[in-house]
Amino acid sequence: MRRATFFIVFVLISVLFGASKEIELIKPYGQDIYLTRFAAVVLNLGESGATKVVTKVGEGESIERTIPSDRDFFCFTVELVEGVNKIYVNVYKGDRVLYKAVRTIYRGSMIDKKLKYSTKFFHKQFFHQTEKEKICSKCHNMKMNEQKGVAFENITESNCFGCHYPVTTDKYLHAPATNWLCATSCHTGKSGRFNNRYKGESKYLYPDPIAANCFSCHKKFKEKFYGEKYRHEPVDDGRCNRCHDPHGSDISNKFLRKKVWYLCTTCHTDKKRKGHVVRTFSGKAHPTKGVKDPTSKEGKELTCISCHNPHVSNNGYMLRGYMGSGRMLWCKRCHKK
Amino acid sequence: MRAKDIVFLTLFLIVAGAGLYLVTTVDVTKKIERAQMITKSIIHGIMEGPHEYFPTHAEISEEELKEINVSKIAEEIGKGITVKKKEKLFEIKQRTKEALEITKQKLQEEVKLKHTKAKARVAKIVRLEDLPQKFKPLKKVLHEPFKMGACELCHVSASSKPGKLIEKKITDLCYRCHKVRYGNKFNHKPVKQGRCLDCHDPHQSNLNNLLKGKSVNDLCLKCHKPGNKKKIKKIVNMKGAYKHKPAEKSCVECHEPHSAGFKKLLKDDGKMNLCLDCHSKLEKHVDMKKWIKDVKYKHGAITDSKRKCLECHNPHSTNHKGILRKQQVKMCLSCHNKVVKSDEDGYELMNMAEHLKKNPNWHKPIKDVKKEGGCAACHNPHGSNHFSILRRSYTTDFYADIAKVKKDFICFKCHEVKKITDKMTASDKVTKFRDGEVNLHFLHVNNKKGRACRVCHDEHASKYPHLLRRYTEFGGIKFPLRYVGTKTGGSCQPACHKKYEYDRVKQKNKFSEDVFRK
Repeated sequence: MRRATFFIVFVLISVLFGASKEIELIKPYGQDIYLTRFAAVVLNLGESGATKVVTKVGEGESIERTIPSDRDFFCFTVELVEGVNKIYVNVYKGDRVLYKAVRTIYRGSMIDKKLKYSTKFFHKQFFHQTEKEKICSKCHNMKMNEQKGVAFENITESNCFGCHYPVTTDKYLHAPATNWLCATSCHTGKSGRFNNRYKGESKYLYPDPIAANCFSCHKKFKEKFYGEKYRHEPVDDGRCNRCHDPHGSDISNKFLRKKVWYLCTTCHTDKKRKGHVVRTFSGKAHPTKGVKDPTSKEGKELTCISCHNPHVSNNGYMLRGYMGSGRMLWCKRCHKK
Repeated sequence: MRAKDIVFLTLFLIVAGAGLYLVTTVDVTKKIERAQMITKSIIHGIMEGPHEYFPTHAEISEEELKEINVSKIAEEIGKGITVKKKEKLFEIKQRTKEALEITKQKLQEEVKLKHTKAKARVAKIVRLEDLPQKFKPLKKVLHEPFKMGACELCHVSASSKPGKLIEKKITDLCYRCHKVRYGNKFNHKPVKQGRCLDCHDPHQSNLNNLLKGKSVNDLCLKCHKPGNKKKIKKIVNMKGAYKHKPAEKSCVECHEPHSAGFKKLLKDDGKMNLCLDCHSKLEKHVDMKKWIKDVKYKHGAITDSKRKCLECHNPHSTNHKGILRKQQVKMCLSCHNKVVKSDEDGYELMNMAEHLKKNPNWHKPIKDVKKEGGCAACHNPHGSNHFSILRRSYTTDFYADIAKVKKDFICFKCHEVKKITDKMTASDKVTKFRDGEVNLHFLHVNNKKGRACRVCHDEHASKYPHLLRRYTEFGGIKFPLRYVGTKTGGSCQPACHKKYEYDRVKQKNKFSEDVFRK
């Protein structure tokens, strides 16, 4: 007995002393699922006096960051690739390696079915819980400081901005996101039909389906979407964020996650493999991209949405208009006599 | 076959029976006789000429009478009447017209006059030469007994020096002849107290109705002017720069001098009806009665207030245009210094007084009331067919198509349309919101998704230059414009786009053609 208690006390003391000196990688936790492009890396440096951090994501380039002196904690963000990401974090003091860690995380995709579901190894972990937030509250103000219905005059005033600023570095940006009205417009902490299992796990959970929140501004679509006969699946579900990135996009001013043709074919893969519409005897199919749209006045390129309405339609095949019964009549739209 | 025969037989019998019945009922002989008479008369007429009357015994039914054109016949007869007869007829017509026009009041007056004349015959007549010196020279209008020299009608002695009056009370004396007693709902105080001679001279005057003073208004204002000796509270200041024309002409246009059925001795309900009696007939003025009634959006000050017209207007005279009680903007703000609910849709109108107090940069019409017209430059205080009682159309929406609606906007009453329709411009007069020569107003406002003026500008007042708003509202969220001005340009960072700078001298952005289409 005496030996055992002595041993326990020794272990405890060693752990306590060791912890204060040793470096710890707080975030990412590992084995968690991300849906965003960026992941935050948080290091507890203690009193180690580390000078630089070198990170590498998967087989990408390793990036070196110098740590300012007198820092207990050091935070930065790394960019993720879709799929499994291995993050290597090496902390140096001069040339000496102080700490080495590897964390595997998973970046899922909102559209790609292959990447949508991860293996059981990964699971969703939330950070914004009162217990977990305590570590950060030494430096950051962890309270939500938005005023409902009024945007910040200076966006850096937002408490979200400090950590999440990379979210709004795209070319085209969604107004609520750039104005940092995160918690009042989308991340309300409520859950929806599709993510009820995460209910109460995060302060800033967004309800899935999100449509109700979208419609509070985009009122025009509210009537339009549920007034017509056929609906695209994501529209029917109310998950606007599957195709549109609610924060912003580099690609299109509609905040699409990919260019239209590529976005459509991530799900409708058969249209990519086989020819669409008709095929000639030589095997050449009707073009779905790369040519000019003959109906467009502005000379836009032909894409899926030239013929199909991506949201709702009253016509079969989600076509943009009705040219009479019979499939071939639709061809007359471009192929005039 | 047999069945068919039977059916035919029965049908034939029915038809034959009906025919026989008709023949028996109609008197053929009479018909023939009548036809004979008519033909005879026609033949006679042709033979003998139309001048001679040929009596016919034919009975004309009412239906036939209706067919005869009576007016035409009357015209034909009229041609035969001589000129003298026509004159006589005209006379008769006029007399009947006059007779119809005699009203009760006129009849009363006639009776009254006869009465006095009858009495005067009894009285001893004093000749005009014998009248006391103070009555000479005689004035324009003379009291009927005085004119006749029948002093005895009122005075005890008819000598050259007037003696005592017959009655102690002056009212009893006046009312002897002027029998129309003044006993309506509201009475003028002198009438109530029987002081007829306060206003009327019993002998002679230069004014109608034997009134004292230089004119009617002079007489009234003797008592009713501010700072009067009698300390009468109901005062009228007629010295303002803007005067109500009827008030300037004569008080009696609106007020009854003796008694009336309405407050303030008015001829009609003074809040609105009396005003509209004239202001629905005036030339060069809007038919206010119709306007107020027909207009889609109504001003609460007219429809929902206690004093109606008098809420804003003074009926006599003030120093402010439109005979308003106060300076126009202050007048409006006397009600709009709190949140007011509009009648039509229950929309809450903002507290304008506070808004103007908080924001020092005012829209020019509000700033320069005399020159630009104050609130009334844009709003019609008597109601309008456009929302917010605006004089022309405007929008509450974020987007408005320029080609269709925006040109009719109230803004372009003063501001030039060029400001938003010119794609390229180099002059500061057209607009200063330019990047190089590209008109940024055109860029923002053009096309189907063009933004309305109110998206960026506050129509009333702002803290920022160019009447820019602090916040624009979109989707229920207020987004700050984040405008920063420089000497030759500025920058903006609203919710709609990221931070863009513009400069009039040095173009900062490149514009593709697509930008103008959106």
